[in-house]
Amino acid sequence: MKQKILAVDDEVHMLKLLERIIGEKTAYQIQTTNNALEVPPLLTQQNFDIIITDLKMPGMDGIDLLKHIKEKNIDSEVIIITAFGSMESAIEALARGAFDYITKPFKKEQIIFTVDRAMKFQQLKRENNRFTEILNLEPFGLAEAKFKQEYLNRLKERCGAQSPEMASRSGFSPDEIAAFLKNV
Amino acid sequence: MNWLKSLFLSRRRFSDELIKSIQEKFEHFLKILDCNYRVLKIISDMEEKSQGEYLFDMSYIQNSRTEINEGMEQLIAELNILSGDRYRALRDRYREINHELDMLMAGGAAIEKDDYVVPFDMLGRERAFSVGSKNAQLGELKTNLGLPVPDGFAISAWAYKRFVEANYLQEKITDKLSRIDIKSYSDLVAIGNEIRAMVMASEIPSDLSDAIAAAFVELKKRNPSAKIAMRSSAIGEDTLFSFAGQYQSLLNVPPEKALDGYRSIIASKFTPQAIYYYLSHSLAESNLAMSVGCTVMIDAAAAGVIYTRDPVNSESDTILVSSIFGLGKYLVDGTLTPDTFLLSRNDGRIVRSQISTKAVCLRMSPDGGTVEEPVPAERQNLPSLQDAQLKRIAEYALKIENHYRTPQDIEWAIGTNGQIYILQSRPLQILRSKPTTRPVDINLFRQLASGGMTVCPGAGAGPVYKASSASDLAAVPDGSVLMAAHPFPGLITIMEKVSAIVTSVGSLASHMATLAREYRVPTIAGMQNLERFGNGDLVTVDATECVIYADIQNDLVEARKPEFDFFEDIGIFLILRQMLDRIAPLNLIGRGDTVFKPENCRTLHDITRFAHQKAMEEMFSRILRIDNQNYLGVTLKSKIPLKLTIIYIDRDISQMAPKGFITEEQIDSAPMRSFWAGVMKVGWPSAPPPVDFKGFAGVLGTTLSRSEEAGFSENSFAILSRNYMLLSLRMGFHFSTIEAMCSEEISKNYIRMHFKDGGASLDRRIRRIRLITEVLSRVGFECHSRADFLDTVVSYLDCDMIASLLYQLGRVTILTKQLDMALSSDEVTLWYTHDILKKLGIEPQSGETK
Repeated sequence: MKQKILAVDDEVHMLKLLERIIGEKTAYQIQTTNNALEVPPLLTQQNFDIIITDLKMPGMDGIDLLKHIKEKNIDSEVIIITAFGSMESAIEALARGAFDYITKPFKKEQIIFTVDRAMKFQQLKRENNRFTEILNLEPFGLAEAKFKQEYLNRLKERCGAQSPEMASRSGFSPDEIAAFLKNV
Repeated sequence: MNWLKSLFLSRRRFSDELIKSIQEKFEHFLKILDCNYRVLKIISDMEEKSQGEYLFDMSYIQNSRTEINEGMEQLIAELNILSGDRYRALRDRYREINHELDMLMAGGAAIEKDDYVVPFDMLGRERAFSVGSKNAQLGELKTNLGLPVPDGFAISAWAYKRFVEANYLQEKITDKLSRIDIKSYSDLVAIGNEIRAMVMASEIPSDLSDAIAAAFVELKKRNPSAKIAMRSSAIGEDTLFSFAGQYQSLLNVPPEKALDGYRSIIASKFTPQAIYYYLSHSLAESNLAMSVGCTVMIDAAAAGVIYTRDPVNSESDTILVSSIFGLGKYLVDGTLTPDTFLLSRNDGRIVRSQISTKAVCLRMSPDGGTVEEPVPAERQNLPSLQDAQLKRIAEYALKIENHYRTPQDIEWAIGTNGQIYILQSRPLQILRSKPTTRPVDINLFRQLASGGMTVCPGAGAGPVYKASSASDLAAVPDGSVLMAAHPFPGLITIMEKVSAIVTSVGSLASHMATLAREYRVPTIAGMQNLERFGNGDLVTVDATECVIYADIQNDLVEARKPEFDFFEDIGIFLILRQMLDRIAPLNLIGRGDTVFKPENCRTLHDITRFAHQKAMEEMFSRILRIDNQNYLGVTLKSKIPLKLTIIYIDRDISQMAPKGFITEEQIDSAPMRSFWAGVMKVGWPSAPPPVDFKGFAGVLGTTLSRSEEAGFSENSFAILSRNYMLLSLRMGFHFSTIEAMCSEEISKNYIRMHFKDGGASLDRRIRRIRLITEVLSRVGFECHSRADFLDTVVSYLDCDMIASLLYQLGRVTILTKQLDMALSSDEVTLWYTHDILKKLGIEPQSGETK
């Protein structure tokens, strides 16, 4: 599944530019809205890996949006776009948990790199969460079972679901592998 | 001896006063330089942003303009202080250019007080702000080009403001529009309906309705049997944004319906398609005041559209005329496929014509409005235009294009009496795309249909979705191929959703076609037999070649993807680039009063150039006079046999040079030191380069032309401060001025050189200019030349770089002294160019490797 980005700006020009650049220069999928008030309901229906938002908007500004995302524990990383000279609001955004900010006008590469970094961070964060969850399980048997599951998932990806190869590389018996593949 | 002493003293006093006044003026001069470079810096920043590498928004453009305006106003004010208000005309010119820039922002300025109604006779294009572009251009065509346009008047933007304010509409409208999601067609319809109902229910204040009614009566009095049409002419319409066909036109309006007509045209600002148009281009609705044009209707025997260039093929040198019988509405709304004629722009020859079947036509109805009439069978396939008429219309069109200096999209009509009228003219947007060279094997695809004409090139693929009216549009799936019998209003709202559009009727010249090109949707018009396609069929539309293939052919879509600039089609880039056209180019190249006139300033850059030049002249004109020269300054003592007078403006020279001269070592002006070091490095040539007979003959000729310089010094002089140098050099037969600033602040540093004249004939002098241009361009100078005049500049470099370039310039100055005489051919010039580049160390000496 494609990783998804939501871009929010009251100026349609900027949205078009973002749509063009993300659409043509990256593998991510981008959705846009010129009305920040639409974002909270949208976030209840869909998950976005990244939200790119302008700072100054009528109705709900970038900081409001960021607060909302943090309050609702929404997992999206937020990239803030600010006007040149509004450094203080940019710092406030960082303090409130924004991933990064970009000052307008900016180069095409700048947004691409920032988005790529945020995606990578998002991936690492999710992976870390998954492993932390396993490590926190009690008793040990439960954690071990969960770990084995995770291990086999990765193994399957590496070996292209070829059970003999999975067995020989991992040391699990062919029966164990067959049982695992049956359950997946 | 006493008289000699007193003469000396009075001269001394005179020179002291002169230097003091120069020193005072120098402060203003420095401010002018500062403004100049501040403005140029913002201009180059805007140029950089326009190249497609950056993302920016409207506030970037607005902020840049604010900064430029601050700099420009200060610049002009300082110049007028320096000159005792001699350049007030420059301020007017600046305001005019600025006004043009405001217009590009599509109605960014406040509506100024005006009459409610204004006759066309009193309009010109400068009135676009008060009556909309459509009305203003009609006035312009009539009054300034003498072209036949129908009699009429405009109901101004001021009138609109009166209507909106009297009914307290603006706040309600803005509030409603702010709640629209432009991707939702039902939102557009619902909120559009609400606003239109509100407008239609509003009263027209009596002062306004009286004015409109009176103007109608006047118009009828002048044209007793005439019917009247009312057309939208909104502020911002027909600019960068065509708004093609977005607003209403009412044909044949009886006088008693005029006020209803007025309200209904205002309401047409809020149709779903119009709302979509301005919101999708990020235009603020409140800036787009609606002016209305009321014109005598032409009972058209034939009517149509003329494009002065082919909009989808910028390379071709043709005019495109589309024409039908009767009123032009059936052409622009896509009801009929028109006759099309391609004419050569060079000689008006008809290159190609295609006559369509015109089964019906639209005529005026005796009781108001219009009526569709059948065209007699024997006439349906006849051309709707005669060759002579065609030629005449094309002549008018080129005249209009020439006037506006940009391709035009013109609506015209021919009355039943054969008289041609121009109904509208607006800039034509041309797609400048390079066809891709990626090969694709179309033999692999199954062809389903072909024919029609390319409205917008490219290819798109997806499931077919057939629509016959606006009510079908809400359900258009993303990425579908939209097929319709006719283009109909509302199609615009799905243009960013669909992958291609195909219509069986219509042409390149309909409103829908203009919009399809603006939104870059691959579109074919006039393709027959669309019935064979059913909803959901997967197809690929090749709009470039006018073919439809079965299934999704992504290779073809990729291959046909026109290589537009990455962001070129996005509104904000268009705005910036069109603004830069009026900001950045430099047209003031040359010297003397014939070139440096405020009215010759076509761009803001020209104005800064003008101000810089005039400021320099104001500063130093008194010193340049021969009679002042001898009392001023000190002489430079040098091995170079050049009489050079030096004037310091930031210190008392008498301490430095009690004997009336200084030595080369004493020069403590940073730019002058560097330049002079370059001169010394080469040294004075012992003999001029070898010259043939013609070289000498030229000398005799040009000596005469030099009389125009009478009054200016035959000597060389330098005006210096620690960081600044103005050097005027008379070197044999050529004349050059080198100005340089070399300070701690990079943003203030620059070198500017003018180079003119020479001893040889003009062709040799021009060769020398080419040689210098080549050499200086290689070290980073920006050169503009015209005939044997060169204006070259570098700026924004640190002091060390400026110093090293001045050093090179000093060397080039000596190396090219009298060189013009030797430049008998282009080959010789090339040889000398490389020779000098080698001497400067820019090209390797022979024997060296790169």
